[in-house]
Formats: sequence, C-alpha cells, structure tokens
Amino acid sequence: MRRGNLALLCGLALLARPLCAQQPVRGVPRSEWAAYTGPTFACRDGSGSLPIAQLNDDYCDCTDGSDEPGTSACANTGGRFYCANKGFKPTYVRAGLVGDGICDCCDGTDEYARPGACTDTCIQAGEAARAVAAATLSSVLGGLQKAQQWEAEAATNTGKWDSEIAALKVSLIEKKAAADAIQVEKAAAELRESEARKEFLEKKAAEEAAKQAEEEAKAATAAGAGAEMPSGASVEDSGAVASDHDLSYPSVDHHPDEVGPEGEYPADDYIPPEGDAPYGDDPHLEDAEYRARYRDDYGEGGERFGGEDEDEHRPWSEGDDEPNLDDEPGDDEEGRGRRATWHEEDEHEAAQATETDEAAPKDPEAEALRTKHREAMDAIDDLERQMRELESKKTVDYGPNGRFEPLSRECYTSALGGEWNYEICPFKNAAQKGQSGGSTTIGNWEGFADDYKTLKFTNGQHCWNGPARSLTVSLECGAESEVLSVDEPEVCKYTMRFRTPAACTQAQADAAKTELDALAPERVHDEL
Amino acid sequence: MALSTFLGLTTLFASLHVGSAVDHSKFRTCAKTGFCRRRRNPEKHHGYVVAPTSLSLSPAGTVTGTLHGGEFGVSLTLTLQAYASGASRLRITETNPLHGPRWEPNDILEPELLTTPLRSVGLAELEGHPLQAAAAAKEVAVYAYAHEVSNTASPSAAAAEDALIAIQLHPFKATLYRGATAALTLNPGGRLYFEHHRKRDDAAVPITSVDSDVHGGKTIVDFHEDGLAVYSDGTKQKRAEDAPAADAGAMAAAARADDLWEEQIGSHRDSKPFGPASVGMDVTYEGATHVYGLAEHAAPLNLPSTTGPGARYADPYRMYTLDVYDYELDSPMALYGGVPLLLAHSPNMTVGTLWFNPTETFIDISRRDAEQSLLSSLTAKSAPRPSTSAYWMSESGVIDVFMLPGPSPQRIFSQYAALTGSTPLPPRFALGYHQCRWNYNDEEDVRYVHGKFEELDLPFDVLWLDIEHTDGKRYFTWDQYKFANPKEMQQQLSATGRKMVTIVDPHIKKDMGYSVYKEAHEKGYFINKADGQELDGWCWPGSSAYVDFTSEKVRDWWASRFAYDKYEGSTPTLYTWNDMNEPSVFNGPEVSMNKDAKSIAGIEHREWHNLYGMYMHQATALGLLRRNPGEDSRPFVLSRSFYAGSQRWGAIWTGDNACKWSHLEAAAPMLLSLGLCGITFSGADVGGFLGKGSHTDGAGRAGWDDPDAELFTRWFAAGAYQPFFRGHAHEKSGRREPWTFDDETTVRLRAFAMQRYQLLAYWYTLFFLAETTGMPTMRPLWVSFPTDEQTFDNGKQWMAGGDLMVAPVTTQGATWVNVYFPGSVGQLWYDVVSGRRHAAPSEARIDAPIDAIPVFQRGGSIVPRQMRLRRSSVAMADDPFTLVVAPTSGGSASGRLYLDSGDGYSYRKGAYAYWKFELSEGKLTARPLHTSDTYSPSNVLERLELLNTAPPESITLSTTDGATRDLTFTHVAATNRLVVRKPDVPVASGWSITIKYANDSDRS
Repeated sequence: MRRGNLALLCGLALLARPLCAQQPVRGVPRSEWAAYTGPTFACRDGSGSLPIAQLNDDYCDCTDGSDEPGTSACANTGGRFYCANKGFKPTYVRAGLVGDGICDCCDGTDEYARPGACTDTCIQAGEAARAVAAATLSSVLGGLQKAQQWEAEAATNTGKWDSEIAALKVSLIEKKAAADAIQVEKAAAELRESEARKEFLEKKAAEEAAKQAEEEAKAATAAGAGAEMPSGASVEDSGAVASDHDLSYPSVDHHPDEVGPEGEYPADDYIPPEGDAPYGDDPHLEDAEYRARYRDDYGEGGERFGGEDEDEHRPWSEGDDEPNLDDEPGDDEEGRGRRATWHEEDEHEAAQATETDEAAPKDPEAEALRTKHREAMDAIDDLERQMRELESKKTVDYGPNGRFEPLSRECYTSALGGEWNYEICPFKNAAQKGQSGGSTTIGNWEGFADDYKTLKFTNGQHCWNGPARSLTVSLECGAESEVLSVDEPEVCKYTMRFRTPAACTQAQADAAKTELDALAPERVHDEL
Repeated sequence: MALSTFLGLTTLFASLHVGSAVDHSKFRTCAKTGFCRRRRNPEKHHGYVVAPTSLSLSPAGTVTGTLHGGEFGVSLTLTLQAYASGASRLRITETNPLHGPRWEPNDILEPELLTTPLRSVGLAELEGHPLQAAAAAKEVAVYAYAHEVSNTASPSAAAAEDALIAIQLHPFKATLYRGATAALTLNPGGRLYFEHHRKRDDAAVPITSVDSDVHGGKTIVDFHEDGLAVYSDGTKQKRAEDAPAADAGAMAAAARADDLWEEQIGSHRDSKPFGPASVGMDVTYEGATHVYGLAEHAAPLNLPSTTGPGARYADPYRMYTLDVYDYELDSPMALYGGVPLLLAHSPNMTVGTLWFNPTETFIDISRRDAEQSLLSSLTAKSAPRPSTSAYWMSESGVIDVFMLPGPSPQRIFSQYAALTGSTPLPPRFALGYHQCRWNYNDEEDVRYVHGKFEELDLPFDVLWLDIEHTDGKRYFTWDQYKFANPKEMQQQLSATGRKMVTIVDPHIKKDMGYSVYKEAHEKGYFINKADGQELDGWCWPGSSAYVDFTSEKVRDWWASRFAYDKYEGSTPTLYTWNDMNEPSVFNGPEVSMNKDAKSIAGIEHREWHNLYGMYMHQATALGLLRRNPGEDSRPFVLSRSFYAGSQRWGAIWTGDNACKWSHLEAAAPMLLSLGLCGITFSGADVGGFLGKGSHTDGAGRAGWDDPDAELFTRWFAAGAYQPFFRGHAHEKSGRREPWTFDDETTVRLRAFAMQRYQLLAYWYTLFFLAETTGMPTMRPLWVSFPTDEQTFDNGKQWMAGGDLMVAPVTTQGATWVNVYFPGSVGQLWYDVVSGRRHAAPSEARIDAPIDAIPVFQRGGSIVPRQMRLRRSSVAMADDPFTLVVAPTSGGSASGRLYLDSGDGYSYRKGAYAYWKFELSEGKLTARPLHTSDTYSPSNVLERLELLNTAPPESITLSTTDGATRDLTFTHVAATNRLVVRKPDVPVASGWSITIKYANDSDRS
C-alpha cells in the first residue's frame, strides 16, 4: 500500500527526484528517508560507512546504532524506532521494544515481524488523547485565568495590608489610651474596695477572736488543702477549673512522661493476647530492636496497642510527641478564645488567692471597672494580633507575584477513599485524618521548592523510632484546587499531587495547546 | 601487595568492624543448652564396642550389628547400607527403645534411593592394603561397594571403583576408604553417645564406666542381649545395678543441673516429657584441612575451628532454624536455615557427610596437623596426614550419617543430589532481576515503579509485595483500599512480560471471619501446645496459629489454597514468597516455637523444628504447581528457612541482612556455602535489607544508614552475578530503586542489569546442569580448581558456572581489587570487558572503577550472550546469540547452551535443545547433546567473538545442508579480538565455522 502510493507519486513529474529514489526505511519518519539513499550508509556518529544492504539488516554495525532504526539490533546503543501511529501521533520507541512480543506502538508496527500480534488502536488512542488534551487545555486555560486574577488581587494586597496596618495602629493608640484611663479609674476604685474590705475583715476578725485556736488551725488546714490540687488528679477532676478550659492540650493519658523511660508502650494501651504476653515474659524481648521490628504500628497492630482514635500507623504518636504548641489554629475565633481563657485563668488564680476573704464584700464599681478593663485589654490584644498577622503576611513568600496567597486562606482535603484523608492548609500545615476521627500532623509549612512547583511541609509529628513526618506536594496546573493523590513511599514521608490554578503558567498553556494541535485529526491523518 | 598478605586478608573475612548488634542473650549458646552443655566436653568418653558375632550381612547387602557399652550400657543397633549414587549410610538406633522407634522424617530424602549391595571383603583382597593386618587380626570387618569415580561430567566415561568401609570392633569406629586411602572415619575419638529414652526414675543413673575399668582388663568376646559383655575367660560383666548405688539425692540434683527432664529457655519452660534424648558422634575427615558447608552461618567459606588449635569461635556451629534479627557476621550462631552437610576438601579428594538429623544440632570443628594425626592413626604405617574433625551433637533423633565418598567435587554434588534431590530448573523469568520493598504501598505505587523501570529502560522481571498488601496480615487476601483490583494490577505487569510475587507466611491470624483460619481451625490443621490446645503465637497479624506443614494432608490442603478460585485476586503470573517459616514466633523461646509443642500427629516440635520451613516451602510449591493442571507452568517460591532438600522447592535468600559493606562481603561466602549444600538458587538482598530507621540499639541510637550510591552500585553489580538477584529494603529505609540515587548511578545500574540479562541463557544453562547433575551454579573457586590450594580459602571471588570468575568490590572507596587467577600453569583468563589476558596462577591488581565489576572468562570456554537490552526475560526469549570464545593457549575452547520454552515441564519430556560448541584447530563446531522434534529454538547466531586471536585470512560458515558461505569479520589488533559478523544460522543447529589463518600457528 505504502510502496504503491510512492510509486504512483514518483510517476508525477512535479516531484523532486530524491523522493523518487527513496525506499521506505523501517523505523524512520518519511521526512528522513532521504538520508538512507545511495549505495552506502554513513553512521551518524561517523563511526563507519556501510553498504546500504546493511541498513536494517538486524545487525548492529554503527557504534551509535544509526544503521538499525527499524530493528532491535542496536538496542544497547540508544537506538529508537519511529512509529507513524496514523490516527494518533507519531512517536519513537526504544529499539529494545522492537520485536519483543509486546505491542508498544498503537499501530503495532514495532511488532512487524509477528503479523497479527498487535491490533491498530491508534484511532481510539487518538480520540482518547484528543479528549484528554482538550480537557487539559481547557483546565489549564481556566487555571491560568484564575492565577492571573490571583496575581492581580495580590498586587493590591500589599497596599491594602499597609493601610489596614495603619488603621489598626490608629485604633490601637486610641484603645490603649482608653484602657489607660480605665486603669486609672479601676485602680482608684480598687483602692477604695480594698480599704472597705480590710475594714470589714478586721471587724470580722475581732468578732471571731473568741473562737478556739484549733478551729482556726482546722480552718487554715482546710484552706491550704483547698488551694492545692490533689496530686495525681487529672485536669478534668478539678471541676470548675477545667470546665473553663478549652485548651486542646493532649490529655494526660498521652503525656510523654507516661511513656516508659525507654519508650515502652503506654501501659493502658497494652492489651496482652490471651494467655501470653505479646513478647512473652522474656525480658530480652523487650529490647528496642524487637519493638522496632515487630512494630505493631501497622494494620492490626492498632488493635493491640493503639487507642481507638489513634493514627493507625503510629498509635502512640501523640504520646510520643511534644504537644504541638506551634500548631495554633489560624482561625480568628479560636485564637481569641484561647487568649480569653488565659485571662480567665489569671483571674481565677487571683480569686483563689483571696479565697479566705470571700466573705468580704466586693465593690460593684470596682467589679465593673475590672470587667471593662479586661475587655479593653482583649481588644488591644486582638488588634495587635491582627497587626502581627498582617505584618507577617507581608514577609511571606506567596510565590511569583503572590499568586499563591489565596491558598493561604483555605484547607484542602483529599477525598480519595481509603482509610485516611489528608488535609493540607498551605502556608500552615498538613494532617492525616482517620475516617473515624483522629488527626496526625504530617508536616508544618516550610516553603516552596523546585521553582514553585513543590510545596514542602516538614517537621510533623515524629514517628515512633523514626523521623518526623513530612509531606512533599507536587503542584499541577488546573482550573480548581484539589488533592489528586497521596502516597507514602517511605514510612512517614508523604507525597501528594495537588492541582491548583496557582501552578498554571503561560508555558503550560502553550504546551497544552501544542499537544492538542499535534493531535488534530487533519494532522495525525496527514502523516503517512 | 604480596600474595600471602592478600590471602591472609581474604581469610580474615569481614575484617571491617563487625558490630555486635544481634541480641546474644536471646539466643542460646552451647553452654545454655542442656544437651550441648552435657555433651560438648564430657569428663570422659564411654566407648562402644561391636559384638563380633552380631555383625551380619543380609542377602540384600545390608550390614547390621549391635553396639554395646557406652555411658548407660544400653545396646544400640548399627546398620550400614550403600547406594548406587556412591553414598553409604551408617545408622545407629536404640535396640530396645522404651517408647518405640524415635520419630524420623520419611519424606525428606528422595523417595527411591537406589541401594547397592555391600559385600564382605576377604583377606586375600586386602593384600597390600593398609587394612591387611587389622583384618587378619579380626580387629576390623571390611565391606565394599562399587561406586562411580568419574571426574567428568559425561556419565558414559564413568568408571567404577570399590569404596571400602572398615568397621573396627573394639572400640567401635568405621572408616571409609577410597582405594588404600582413608577418606573419613566415624567415631574416631570414641565420642559416640546415645541418650536412650528412659523412665524418669531412671534418670541420671549413669554407669560409672564401661571402659576397660569395668571390664578389668578382660578381653571381650561377645555381648549378651542384655547389653553385658562376655569375656574370654568365660565370665560375664556385672549389671550396673549390682554395683553400689550412688547417692540418689545428688543424682537428682545433677539431673536438674543437666536439664534432663525440663529446661528453661529464657523465660520459657520446656517440659521435656521424654527426658534426655541427645545423640552425637565425631567424624574425622582424613587428610583435609579445609571444610565447607553447614549452611547457614555467617562464617567464612572455609569453616574455622571451634575447638583445638587455632579455634576462631568459642561456640560450636549451631543448626536450629531461627529468625535472627540483625544477625552477626563471622559467627557460628544459628540462622534461618540449616543443612547438616559438611564437605572436606584436600587437593586429591573431596568427601562429605550428611548428618541426617533434623533436631537442634551443634557441631564442633577442630583441626589437627599431620603430627597430631599420626598419634591416633588407625594404621600406623600410613604416612601422617592432617585431618579435620567434626563432633556432631543433636538434641534428639537418631544417628544417621551419609558418607559421600567423592572423590571429586562434581561427584560429591551428584551423590548429595541423589539423596536430597536437585534444584529443578526455575522458570526463566526467575533468573531476571526482582524488585522488592517492604512495601510497595498500593496499586498506584506498583504502577509508578513499573512505569519508572519502563521509562528508564531498566530491565526487570518481577515486582514483589510484602506483608502490607494483605487485609490485616491475612495472607491470601488483599487490602481492600490499597489493592482493590489485584488482577488488573497483575495483568498490567504481565503486559510487559513481568510477574508479581506476594508474601504468604505460615502464621495465620486467629479470626473466625478469615476463611483460611476458620477452615484450618475446624479441620484441626494447626500446631498444638503441649497440652493439646491450638498454639497461640504472636506474629505480624497479632495472635496467630501455625499451620502444621509436617502433615502431608495439611500440605495438600495448603496447596489447594493457591487455586485461582481460592486465592482470590491471583492470576497465573502471581508467585509466592514464604517468610517467617523458621517458624518465627515473636513471643516464643528464641523467637520461635516451644519445643514441646506438637504436630497434629502428636510429634514434638523439637523433633521437626528444622524441617518446618522446608515443609512449608514444599506445600507452597505444590500449590503453585497444582493450580495449573496442564503442568505448563513451573512454581517459583522463595523461602527464608530451609533444610537439606529445600532446593527442590524453590529459591532461598539469606534473610534480613543489613545495609553495610561487611554484609555485601559476607553475601558471597554465605551463598557459596548454600550452593555447596545443594541450595544453588540463592541470593542476598541487594542493598542490604536493614537500612536507616530499621533498627535502634537499646539506647535508641539509630542503627545504620541507607545505602549510598557507591554501596548500592557495588552490591547491585555483585548481585547481578549471583543466582537469585533481588533488590529489597526494610520499610523504614529510604526508597532505593535504581533511579533514586542520581542519573549516573541509574546508568551504571542499568549497565549491570544488562550484564545479567546478557548472560541469562548462560545462567539458565547452569540451572539445567544443576537439575541434571547437582552442580551449583555459583561455585567456590576450589570446585573448579580442586588442586589449586590457593583457592581453598577464597570466599571473596567465585565462579559463576564453570566459565566466568567474579571478583566484586566490597570495600568502600576501593577502585581496584586484588584478583587471584586460579589454575595450573598455562591457564588463561580474559577480562570480559577489555579482553585482556591473565595467566594463572597469579595475582593481579585489577582496576575496578565504580562502573565496573571485574569478571573474567576462563580460557578454554565459550559463553553464549544475548546482547540486546530488553525490558524483561520474556522479551528477549527469541533474541539472537553472540558466542564469546576464550581459547586456551592451545587455541581450543568449548561451551554449552541449553534452550527450552522457558516455563512448564515439556523439557522433562525432551522438548529442549542442548548444544555444545567446540573450537579446535581453527574450527568452531556446534554439536547436539540433545535435540527435540517438539522444540526447535528460532534464535540465531548473530555474532561470534574470538578473543586472543590473530587476524584470519577468511572465515567460512558451513551449515547442515552442506552449504558454505564466507563471513565478514573485523579484527581489533589492539586487543586481538575477532568479531565475526552475522553467521545468521540457528544457534542450535549443526553449523561450523572455519577460521583460516595465513599460518596455522596463528590459531593460538
């Protein structure tokens, strides 16, 4: 068929002479056949000159393999085979894939010696590839548009933040001045209150002077015991104190100190198998190396040592890790809540210190001023926090032209099925979350890498006997931001593919366009 | 470097720092093991004598006799038998055992051992023999049997010679003679002992002595059935009970101290209901200073002594299959498998013994120089010879020793294969590169790894999945999230000619919702505790039961679980890996099973412990065989534990080695020892299994690093020339696939993988020879050069088959190695890359930059290669061949090529091609050793490379049809290498190529 066409073409006087002398050369695109005419063939690398009969004769003569483009004879020298792939797009495959019994070109020409071994799938492949390329182009263009929009937003951000900071500074000055005024009032009221209370107490003391010494002693003892938390009681046990606390400290059960001195398993996590301890009663089996090996940190091990909500991989991880105090939620409300509890705590301590004075009346005015002052201080804290955040935003690298900045306001969760979901909050942290609850920090924001093609989260929670968890996110361009896949190629070293408009560049759009054009039916059909 | 210095270094073995990371306290030494402590250095030896009238030769040619004496005065029965293969066998059992005959496995040795009759040798026949005088004095009874002594691989040239066995009566010992030369002696030092089964009340009532003291200098003429001697003066020995009774209390205390009736193993109590049952004997290998075998130990090739002058180890070699985490190098400690085969080699003889006892065994090795040996020589007239002795002590079982008379290494291997079977030809893909890791996480990961190999043009054949692929360590299942479509995954691999291996371990999760457990539980197919309840051991899945593979019906059941409809998600390209089959029980004594646990037949674990791994390996191999009723597919199963005969069921690897240079160096002697013990399809994890994060010492310090590019490259290069070639890594170590280092390293690793694949047909031919002759594929130098004493200690270099010698770099930073070129004067060696010649015997410093591994082709050989880089073994099956001819200085060479379909069993029906190529007087001729009507390979001969030859005038090809054709060629003057272009004839056909030189003298 091919040869017939060529003969026909050669009959036309218009065609240039060299083309007519051309014979098809297997494994070479038609455009290059001219190089294989004449009685001899020169190796591309100049390593020799051969009779043309040795071209594609299944014996490798040239050191660069250029004499065997259509066979596997030069498979060791980087030779490659051209498949026309009519209906799809032409490609080269390695010479070693020619005639190996496996169909590598969609037109099956790499297995020419086994007629019928391969079916031509190029039409379908072409259609599929076109669909993919079109979708890719659309996605890339959409992403690029959004990225440009984000860049534009970012361009205004710095100015916006500066004016916000300026405004904040103004209100801060105002608030501080107001607070100072309240402080003065409050101090005066408290002095009055203090004097009144002192008077009241002295009077009361006189009334009670007649009471017996042992009663006083008893009272003193009771007061002393009350001021001290019973040793060993959990935070929750201390009733009112705890109820006011929302702090997300790890529970005492998982405090590092509870892990044995040599990293033994928390006793309450240890469920021995029926009749026998998992490592027997052989003390030698407790050695770290055996635990390292017979790690229960996988699969069913969780049943054995882990708590229910624990990370399957590292059931003791929370116990083994320092509480992650840097892991402060970025959410404003939570931030405030946390600060507020600290104030309450201070006040509570103050109340405790004067517990014996309970009977003394409090001055309503002083009370009101205290509340007012506290509110003023809170407001100042809040303004300062906002300023700090804005200041730090100004120093953060949000990528080229700040185009990644919008990602800092979102978290993205994988919804891939499987036992775990993964959440990344760019510029903050990343976590592995169990379907049934439980969360493990697998990395804290470190920064960009690889010319803004990669996000790095490092220094996550430590693996037992292993490194701190880390996550490397490879960015891909797309119209929407989403997690594509997550993997753990090495224990506690996670990788993620993440698609986002911020990763889109004009070069990618151009490439996607080129790809689609290359697959255009008129082109792929045109190539002989 | 002087030759002596070099050899000294190789002898030192692992001279790099060897950390003591293994937990010694966990594993028992001789001193912590009752029977070994009792028996290693007894205060005195209690000799045995053979009752002369008890010796009889049956019509079938079997000798029986009765032994009397010993510590307990309990008579023993001796049986001597010979086999057509050349082996002979001495068995010693209790004549009247209290509990009946002791358990012995009846399914380990080859099913039909062909016996050959022993005949009694008369005095006339011993004329001039060193035994003449002793026979005349009736001190010995001499028997003979015919055995082949041919040194050649061709059976037609075999000649028969008699082997003599002399049984000395008083004291008892037995010596095997080859001609007039003593080869080995059983019980030369009178250390034979046999702790008979007894009632507990009888414990520790040793007869104080049955030696000459007891007999009062009287001459024994016979023994009665009660085990007492009859003297020449007509009197009879008195019974021990008649002698004054020793203090009973002291005896009982002594019994406890000797761990006779119960024993503590760490915190575990061994109830020992049958009491002491140990047996032992010494064997001397006459004339030999070098002994090999006893796999598996991380010890030098030539096993160092454990007692006597020059002892390197304080403890005996131990054989008790154990999961030894972070095992120590240069140590006699027990490891994952054990083959109680010891070979002794001297320049003129190779002999061996198989101590056929599967219970826990310790072996002391000691050496004596010629003068020391003289003192104990049976026949003082003979010239003094050095000797090496092995003292074998087993916890239970019987004394059953196979004597392998050699005399050549080749004969030893065939004699041993006749007993325990040979390695069946693996499916060809199994000789390619295997990529493993604990773990490839999910199907996406598998696709990724597969894709990278494809993308980077790295050949590989098999991708492996470790325990994490299962649903909660329930073997035969898949993790529903990570491996949701296992069949599709396997099909994607097989689309490029690749296979997959999944792990299946012997511990079965106790979970009634798990069909494998439920079924085996309901059928009662698990090992039981001493009290008869199902054993509960801790392993990967947590609480587990252990399949009783010692039972044939259980093995059949297990095999049935591999049927495609039973093992859901399995396809014909899925193969199996058996790990943890020592068996490893995390909470058991020494990380194994209690010795008083019982098989379903009620036999104690102590009796069959060392067999468990092999029985599992067997059951799995049967499963893979039976799932394909058409027998068109050979099993491939890798096992960690093994025993004598495991070679029949698949490959073995050296377990959890570590990512250290020293472990790279140790791999060679370990694999060589395995090969000498019949297990030739073996490998060590390339890169070292235990890497970063896989270990911390007691103080929490990290163990090792992951391999850097240098170590991994060196290891990969060495692994490419070892029989089983697999990269593997611990889950906590970094990724170390060939592309994970740097681009240059990837290129190097590809080049080494290419070297492997170029030689795949060569390896395949070696494995055909392994099946048919028992020859190991990876051999110590001394096997090929048995008279070159310089090779005897060399465990650093090896022969890959008979034609290629490998000298890997195993030292960090090294860019050269000292290579010893073995052989007699005139033997040539050719560097396979440069073609450069080296003349033996010599030592040379050979450059070995990071992209090279020194490999040399033996002068006189022809090696077939397939030069095209393909993606997998399947993809290269039809590729043409290059024959590389490395002639002797006389210009001759020969080589062989075996070809078949690469899988299935048609080759056993003759569907294969086996050809020999011979170069002689300038003519290279292909001759059929076997051809078949049902199989004719299409592979052509595309190239001939002739090393060290002058430029010829012309080269002519003749084919079977009588046609001739001139061939074109190029001759590289600088290296004297001749390359002949495109003979283009089927390589397996009757062609010849005549090389015409201007002068005949140019041929060589």
